[in-house]
Amino acid sequence: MWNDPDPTEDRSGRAAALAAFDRSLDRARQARTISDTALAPGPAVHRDHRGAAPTTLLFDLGGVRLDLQIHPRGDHHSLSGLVGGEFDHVDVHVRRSGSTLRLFVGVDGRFEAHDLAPGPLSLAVEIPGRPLAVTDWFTVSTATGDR
Amino acid sequence: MSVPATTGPERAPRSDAELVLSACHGDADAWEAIVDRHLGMVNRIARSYGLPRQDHEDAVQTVWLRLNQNLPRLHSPHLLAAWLSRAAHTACGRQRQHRRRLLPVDPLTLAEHLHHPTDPEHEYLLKERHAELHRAIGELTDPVDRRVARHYLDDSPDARPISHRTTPNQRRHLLRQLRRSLRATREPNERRA
Repeated sequence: MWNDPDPTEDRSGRAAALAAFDRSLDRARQARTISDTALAPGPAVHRDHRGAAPTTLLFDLGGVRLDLQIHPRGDHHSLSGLVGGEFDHVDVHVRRSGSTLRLFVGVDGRFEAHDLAPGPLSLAVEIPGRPLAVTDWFTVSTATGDR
Repeated sequence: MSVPATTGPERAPRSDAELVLSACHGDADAWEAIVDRHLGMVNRIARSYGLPRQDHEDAVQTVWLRLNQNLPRLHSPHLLAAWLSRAAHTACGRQRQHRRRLLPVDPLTLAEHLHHPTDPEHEYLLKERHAELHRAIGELTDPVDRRVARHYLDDSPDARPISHRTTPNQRRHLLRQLRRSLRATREPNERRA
């Protein structure tokens, strides 16, 4: 039996939680996360001059691989990635809560995004003739501590 | 005749499994009920990680975005609380790991980087100057002078302080010779240019 929520409970984040409701991508295929260095950190491949290593993520979209690197740039982040696999054309979209940004993908499958504010993001990959694939949501966090 | 006010039978709150099913069919009220029922638990877990405010908010929002995305794929909707608990721990753990990967840096080192940006042109000119200096040393006729000059310019971490390596007279003599050699190289180049 469920009771009403305790009025003394912390209700912060309710508006953001309600805004997360969206059924438009229920038919999309969920990409499998193969690796995420933020969860299982190994030795960093390289670091920038301030000692920060990029977070690297690898997704399997069913025969197509998606490599991502997220670099902290002060309060913002840049993202670079590579879609690898057999296809003629691919579209990549960065999904933020409440907005979507389409990225330019080069003929070699590389793409970049700059000035990404901290917060949750996910990528949607669209290849003609295949179902739309979406990655799990992950967070790019502020690199400069509390704000 | 007055009729006593009656209320219909109170509706039992819907179970998590029912709410998940309704939310999957686009029922926003069911989603709101899920949020209201479990928001406190998710916030409690996030708080226990002691994350900075922004990271805390981002992690909590990520949990709800993930639930929304995975709603149609939940194998056991009646175990929603357990799913949310695990998702909250994963999102907060990721934030904490990410924070650990950022190395604290001495602000003085940072200032040094700001004043000496390592752009390719700067690096190239530095290398060129270095090469030119070593060529000038190689042209010193006296092998003792060559050895002393290299000893003087030794910038390896374990080298003794410059003031202990040579006498003032040796340094004056060396610098005179090196300047002469460098001038001799530059002048024909400048004339050619």
